[in-house]
Amino acid sequence: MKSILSIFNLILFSVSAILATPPADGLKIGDKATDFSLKNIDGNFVSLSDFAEAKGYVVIFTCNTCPYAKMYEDRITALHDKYAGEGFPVIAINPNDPEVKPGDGYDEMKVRAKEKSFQFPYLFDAGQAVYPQYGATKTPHVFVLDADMIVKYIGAIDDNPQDASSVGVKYVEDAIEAIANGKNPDPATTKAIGCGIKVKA
Amino acid sequence: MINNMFGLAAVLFFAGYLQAQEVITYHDFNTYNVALSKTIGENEAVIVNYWATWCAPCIKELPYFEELSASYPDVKVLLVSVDFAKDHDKRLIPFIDRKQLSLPVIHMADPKANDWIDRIDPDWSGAIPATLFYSGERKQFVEKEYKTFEELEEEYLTFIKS
Repeated sequence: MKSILSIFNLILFSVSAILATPPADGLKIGDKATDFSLKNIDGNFVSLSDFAEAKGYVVIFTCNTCPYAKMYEDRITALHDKYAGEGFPVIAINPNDPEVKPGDGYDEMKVRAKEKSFQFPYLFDAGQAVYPQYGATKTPHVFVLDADMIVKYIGAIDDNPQDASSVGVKYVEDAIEAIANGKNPDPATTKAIGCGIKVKA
Repeated sequence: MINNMFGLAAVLFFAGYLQAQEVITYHDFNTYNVALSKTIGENEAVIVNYWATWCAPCIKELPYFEELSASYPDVKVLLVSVDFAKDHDKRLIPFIDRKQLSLPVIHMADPKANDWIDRIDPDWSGAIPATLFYSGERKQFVEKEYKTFEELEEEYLTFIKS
């Protein structure tokens, strides 16, 4: 009896250890996203759990300097305007190391957010601890989560970075609508098109 | 006097004409892909380097491709820019002139990257620089930045001899 219990304990322990270890290659569809506490441009710290009534989350790794990120600024604002009130807050995170990419520092983020009147949180991934947990590689790189922080969509915002007026498929909007209707997004993944996240060599 | 001015204008015109290479632009991946397949069919070996004027690591490795082409005239090297369509005149062409690129530059301006990245190679994350080596039916995809000419040369020689 004792040995069986020990084995049972051992199994329990192993399972919890696996669950607690962040996936090596970042989040996959169906994984539970890790929460974080990162400093917003207003000086306050923001976590996913701050949004108690959320039906889902639109986590966007983006930055000030990448030409693709710039082309998407107005579309990220549009996502916030359309969906934050519906229970899908947009949370932008700058994952770049400002020592590698001047212009992506915390002070520059404040300036850019003011210029573009960002109404959503724009957080700084100080120490670059959060983006590897998600497995973000680009700016912009989007993770849409459901109410339980389960990853439902990973990839690009839409299918035409260069020209907002010629977009055919709005991947993130479609993903949000699917989650709002209790369905799984299709496609669940696309390739995020943009600049590589800047890290020290 | 009038003749002289005309002569000068003609010289300037031809100097400019000789300097700037003609850059073919594709707004649609399918058309580009057909042209690429044709080039692969017509050459012993083809190297395609994907880059953009806004990509610093790409710009750093461009001279290595120029050097490879000069050292191995049998390989056809294409520099395929994925610059934005709107930047063709104001960034891409001045960049080519400024850097005096001698390799042929192709502007692949189809914006729907999610539709074509996988068709170039399913392993491609979409990050640039990315380089493909082709020889007949054989193909090798490399998603990385070459830090030296020797690194690129070794990759090419390994590919061509395998």
